[in-house]
Formats: sequence, structure tokens, C-alpha cells
Amino acid sequence: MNLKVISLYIAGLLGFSAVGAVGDQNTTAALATQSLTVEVLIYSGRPNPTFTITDPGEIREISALIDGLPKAGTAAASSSKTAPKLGYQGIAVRSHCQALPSLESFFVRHTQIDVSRSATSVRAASVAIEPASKANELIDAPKRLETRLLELAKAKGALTEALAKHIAENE
Amino acid sequence: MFKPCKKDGGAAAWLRGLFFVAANTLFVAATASADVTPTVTRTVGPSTAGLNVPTTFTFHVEDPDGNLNGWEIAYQNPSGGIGQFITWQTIPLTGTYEFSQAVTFPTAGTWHIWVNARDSVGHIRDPWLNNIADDRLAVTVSAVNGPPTVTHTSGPVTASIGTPTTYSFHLEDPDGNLNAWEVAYRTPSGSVGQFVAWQGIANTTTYDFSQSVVFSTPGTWQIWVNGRDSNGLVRDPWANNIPGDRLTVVVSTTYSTPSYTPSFWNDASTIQYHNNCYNYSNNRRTDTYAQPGRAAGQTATTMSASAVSSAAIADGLEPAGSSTAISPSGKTLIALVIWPNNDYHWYRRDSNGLWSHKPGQNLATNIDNSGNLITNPESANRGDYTVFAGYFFTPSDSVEGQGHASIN
Repeated sequence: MNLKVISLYIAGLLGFSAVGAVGDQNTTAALATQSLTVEVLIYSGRPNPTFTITDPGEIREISALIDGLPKAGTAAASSSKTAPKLGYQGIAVRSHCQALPSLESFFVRHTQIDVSRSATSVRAASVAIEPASKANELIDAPKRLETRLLELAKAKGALTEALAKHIAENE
Repeated sequence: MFKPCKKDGGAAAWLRGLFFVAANTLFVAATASADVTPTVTRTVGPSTAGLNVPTTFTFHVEDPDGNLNGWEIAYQNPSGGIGQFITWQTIPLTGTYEFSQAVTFPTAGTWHIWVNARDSVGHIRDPWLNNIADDRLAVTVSAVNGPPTVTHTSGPVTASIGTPTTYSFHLEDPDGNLNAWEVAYRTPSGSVGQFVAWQGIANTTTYDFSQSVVFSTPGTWQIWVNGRDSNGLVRDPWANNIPGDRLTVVVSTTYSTPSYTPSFWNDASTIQYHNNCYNYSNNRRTDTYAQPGRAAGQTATTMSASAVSSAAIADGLEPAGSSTAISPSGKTLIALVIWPNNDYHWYRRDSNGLWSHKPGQNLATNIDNSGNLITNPESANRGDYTVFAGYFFTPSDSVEGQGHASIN
């Protein structure tokens, strides 16, 4: 966890510290030009549903969700590798947030998150999660990150209510 | 009406009667002989001609009665035989008639040629029978050198790109000085060129040879042989507009079925991420995430079996019958499935008879969602793609990524 990010996040939540307040304003101004590109990996033929998060508050929220997750153990990580299948594969999030260097591009599928990816290498689960990257895997047992991303996808019109529900209900 | 008259006495009356009868006879005779035979039968043209070379003459006939209505062209050959180049031809009644006609002299020597004229009464002016020597034109016929007279091509009328195809060629020049040939073509786009440029041979009357050629693009080609004699005279079925001497050949692409070679597609880079199930099943790498119908301007807008099938057909895919259907032209069987209202997916049957697929950006694989080898896409675990929409033939290739379907 990056201490600067933690302090910024806490400062952002509290909004009191004079130093923190100045830092938060600066970060917010910087995040105004940053974005997260989100691709829901679900289709085989058609292009996948895609949307962009530009709201600084939403970006910070996503960052905070990741920062709060524990690392996965070796056993958990080994089960995360999947064979190529039809249907939902996960969500690839590409970070374009230089103002939040700790917020890397990442891949989420249900409870498993891989934060080891570059913006160009975040792809389907079957290739995104390799044994060498197990040290960068996080566990999100309550699936808060995936749930939040699906909510944003619906809100931004990338997914229908039915399709989002279908994803959430199919492990 | 002649009647003897009393007042005149017997002798005078007799004389008057005799005169009247004579005058009447003369009148009748004059009336019966009023129609005359055509008066002019003139032939104008060269006094020399080539053997077997069409030579044109001009003929002029006249009949002052205005009832000229037929002509024929006659000859006396070098052996003295009489005949007709063209037998009687009827024309509307006229006083004069002039026409040109080409004739061919089949033997060397001195010929005479003339025109006969006939009127509606049947009177004929025939310079031979009427011994009108001035109306018969003498023509000295001798052998002349001409270009080759035969340029024939035979062989397969269908061929495949890149496959050597052999054709047989036959040339003739009765002059005996045929001494070169070349094999020419016209491409589907209209370009004319040579498979084999001029090849010299010893002077000859006939020449036969075979030549293998390779067609480079699909479509309708023409192939022919040009002949040239020692004087440089050429018979060129294209330049001389002799379509019968040009062979039409329909050239097609050779289709074949790929083996299961996922490594080509699973490069964790451009090929994998920019080629989807439609690319994979057609074995055509486009790096555009190809969509059914897009290349034809008819992209499917709804995710139903009928809509995506129609789009695929617009791309040139052919509906097929079953999971074991075999294309007579060597095309590869692929299968379409639909996730209703959401997406489509395609499988392909590889050369080993099993099926494989590439789910979107994911890895190409030969197993289904249950982890089983796919022996039949209809019974495979396809997840959300619950509707089986049918089989199609695609013009694939044994080389991975090099299918020939028009997709984009």
C-alpha cells in the first residue's frame, strides 16, 4: 500500500487537515484529467461492453477498494487460472492515472484481482493470471470491487440490468 | 379491223387489204420484240490475285428496258472449266445495277471472271455464251505469302491459382514458313500479356506443342497462342479479334482445411486480442475483430440466428447441412451459435475432424465449457450460447490465418 495514497485517501474522506486539504485539492485537480477504461470481458463475437470512469471521486473509490484488499495466498492464486471458456471472463480496468501511481491497471473476476498488469496486458483471465504474478493477486471475498464496477457499467449504459445480474449470479 | 371496200374496186381493195395486214403484222412484230436483252455486263477489278485470298471485284449491269432483275458471277478456271462463283441472285427491277463482291481463287493460273445479267422476261446477257470477250476480266492467280492460318488452343477450362496447368497448342501456315510462337493471356481485370514470349522454331507448315502455365489470380482468364512466319506476318487471336481461337479458363482459389494450431492465434498480442471467433472460424486474420456482414456492408444489428446467418451469407459463406457435411470445393465447415439478444459465436471443424473455437479475445481452444473435446458443436457445452443456428462452408486454407473469406 502506498502511504501517500493512503494519506490522500484519508484526507479526502476527512477533508480537515490543512496540509491534507491542500494535497487533496491538488490530487483532485490532477485526477480531473485522469481516467479508468473498463472493459467487461463477456462476448466472443461482438466487441465487449466498455466504459470510462473519469469522475475523481469514483477513481478514488476504486483505488481505495483495491488498497483495502489482502493479498492472496499461493493456494488461492493457483485456482484463479481459468481455461478459455465462453461467457463472462472478468473485468479489465486500464488505468490512465499518473496522479495515482499506485492505481495500476488490474483485472477482476469475482473474488480474484490481479494488480500486476500494465494497461496493455490486462486481458482475459486465462492469460492475465500467470503463476509468476501470484504475488500480485488480491482477494475480494465479498466481491465489492466487481459489484461496484458492474454498478458503474449499468449506470453508464454499458450493461443492461439483466446482463449485469446475469454476470453477478454466474460464478 | 380490216374490211374490203366496194367503192374502190377489187384490185385496189386487195392492195389496201394487203397493206393493212402487213402493217398490222409489223406492229405486232414490233410489239413482241420491244424488250431487249441487258446491254451491259462489266467487271472491274485487279488483274492479279493471291491464291486463296479473298479478292474484291465490282460488277456493273444495265438494261435500258428497266426490267433487269438478276445477276450471277461466273468464271472460267485455268483448266477451261466454266462455273459460277455466285449463282443467280434476284434484285428489284431496275435499269442499272452495280455491286462489289469478293471471290476466292482456289488454284493458281489464269482465270476469267464476269457477270451475267438477266431481265424479267428471261433475256440473259452472258459474256461467255454471247462471246463478249471484252466483258470477261482475266485474272492471274498466284500463291502469295500470308500469315499463319491456324492458332488453336486446347486444355482445361478450369484451373486453380498457383497450380501449373498444361495446355496444347496447334499452329498452321500453308506457306510453310511458320517460324515462331508465343503463349498469351488476358487476365480477369483485362490486362493482356504473355505467359511465354516469342519462341523461334524451324520453318514449318504445322507445329504442335504443350506448355504449362500458372494463373496468379482468381477469375475468368483467356489463353491463346500467337503464330508468326518468317516474313514477320502474325496471326494473333486477340489483336485479330478471333475469339474462337482464345480459350476461356475459370481460375479458382484452392481451398483446404486447417489443422488445429492454436499457437498461431494465442500470441498474447495483436493476433489474439484483435481477432475473434469469426476470424478464427474463417481462419482469416484481419486484426479488426471481424463482424459478420461488415465486409459486405450488412453487419448484423440484432443477435438472432436469422440476422447473423444472413450477415454471414452476405460475406459469402455458404449454408451447409450438418456437422459432417463435406464441401465439393474443399471448403471448411464452421458452425454458428447464438446467445439470444446478446452475442454470436463460431466454431470450426479442423482437419482432424474435431471442432475448435476462439472465445473473443481469449485463447483458441478445442475444448468446451465443460472441458471436453468438441466432437459436435450442437452437443458441446456452449454456456450462454444456447441457440444452434446452423452450419456454413467457408473458403479456408491449410495455412493458419490465411483463409479466403471476405470478412472484416
